[in-house]
Amino acid sequence: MTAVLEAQGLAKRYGHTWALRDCSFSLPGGHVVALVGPNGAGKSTLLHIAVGLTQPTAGAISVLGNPAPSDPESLARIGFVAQSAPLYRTFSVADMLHLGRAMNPRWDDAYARGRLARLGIPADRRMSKLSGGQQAQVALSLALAKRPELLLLDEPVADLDPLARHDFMGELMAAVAEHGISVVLSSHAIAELERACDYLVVMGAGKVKVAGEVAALVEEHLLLTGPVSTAADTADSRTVVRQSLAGRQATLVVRGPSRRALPPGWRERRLSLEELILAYLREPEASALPGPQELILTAETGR
Amino acid sequence: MIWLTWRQHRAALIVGLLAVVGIGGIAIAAGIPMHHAFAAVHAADLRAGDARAGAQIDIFTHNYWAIGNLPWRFLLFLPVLIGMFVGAPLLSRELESGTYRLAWTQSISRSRWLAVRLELLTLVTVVLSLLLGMVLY
Repeated sequence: MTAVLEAQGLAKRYGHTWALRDCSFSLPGGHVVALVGPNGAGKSTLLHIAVGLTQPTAGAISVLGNPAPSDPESLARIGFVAQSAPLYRTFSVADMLHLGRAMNPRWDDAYARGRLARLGIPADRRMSKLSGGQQAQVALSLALAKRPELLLLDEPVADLDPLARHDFMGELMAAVAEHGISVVLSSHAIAELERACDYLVVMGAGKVKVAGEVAALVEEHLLLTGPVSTAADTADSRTVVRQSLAGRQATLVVRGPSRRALPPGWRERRLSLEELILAYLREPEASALPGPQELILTAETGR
Repeated sequence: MIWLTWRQHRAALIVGLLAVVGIGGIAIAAGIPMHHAFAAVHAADLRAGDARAGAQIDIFTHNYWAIGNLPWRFLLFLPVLIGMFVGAPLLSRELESGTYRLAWTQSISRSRWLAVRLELLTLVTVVLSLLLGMVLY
């Protein structure tokens, strides 16, 4: 399958801050991609560039093979739900669907109406009278009824309570499975991502730090624990994502295999997706290519 | 797009229409008898020497003083009001509420989105202003 989202040297600067910097990646289709990263990592900026809301300062992006994301032809193939699901507050549900019908050539009105009726959202209710979860569902219905090939969701569950989150993700997964849509969604709700996503992109400081299929990433990463005295030795032959020292015990998150066996006293185990994401989030500089100099210093003095 | 423009601006447009009907209605209802009365006074005035001319002018002034003193000059501020209630929300409301992220990611180009709205609202404003202008003139 071809790439749904491809970026080359993408950069965006707001004043003196770089929201994205030299960002290059290629996301294959047919996945539910989780885009994670701390606030300000550039997730929203990236998604906004992909739908033409923001112009990149430098670099190029192609969305479903189209290099001009603000094209109506490109937008017709994308369903986008912006952060906190913006809707016209005075519009009724029926009005919102009217808007979708009027502005999209591939609009599937029966699907949108059926979906909202099934969710028990009355057609004459105003947006301002709907709960947060219902508003998110209306926004998702608008995006899905465009019959998109790619769905881009910016923090779709951030404002929702745990139950609404669970329901929203369930509905999303059902729709994705039914129509075979590729999805890229940014989120902080790691637990929900673990359930829904099969591809992970971790962003930090305007760059993609790690990207890959969840199964492969979980397979590649190991959590090593052992005595501080041999931590530097252990780290030396491995690609360290993150290291931490607590008393006499050192903990390393490493990526990829090592030619050398673990020193005595060391144990290894696999990480959950959540642990993996947290390891990358906690280490802003990690991109799975660091040298362990800092560790050596701390290990020598840290007793 | 026509529907969307109407749906988003219908409050301002309805108020505008009511204003035209209201102001125009007052002007027509009061203006037609006033016009006749003035013509009569004028005719009397022309017949120089008619002693009743001065009295008729006094009666005319007395009868229509209230209408003439209505603050018609507020019409000067009409362009400002139109700008405030139709022009300004055209973009600022979208940007403020974040709904531009919804409107501009449907399958329609941003320039078309803006052009249709500007054209329609300008057309309606011009037609309503013209109607009002014709009535008052």
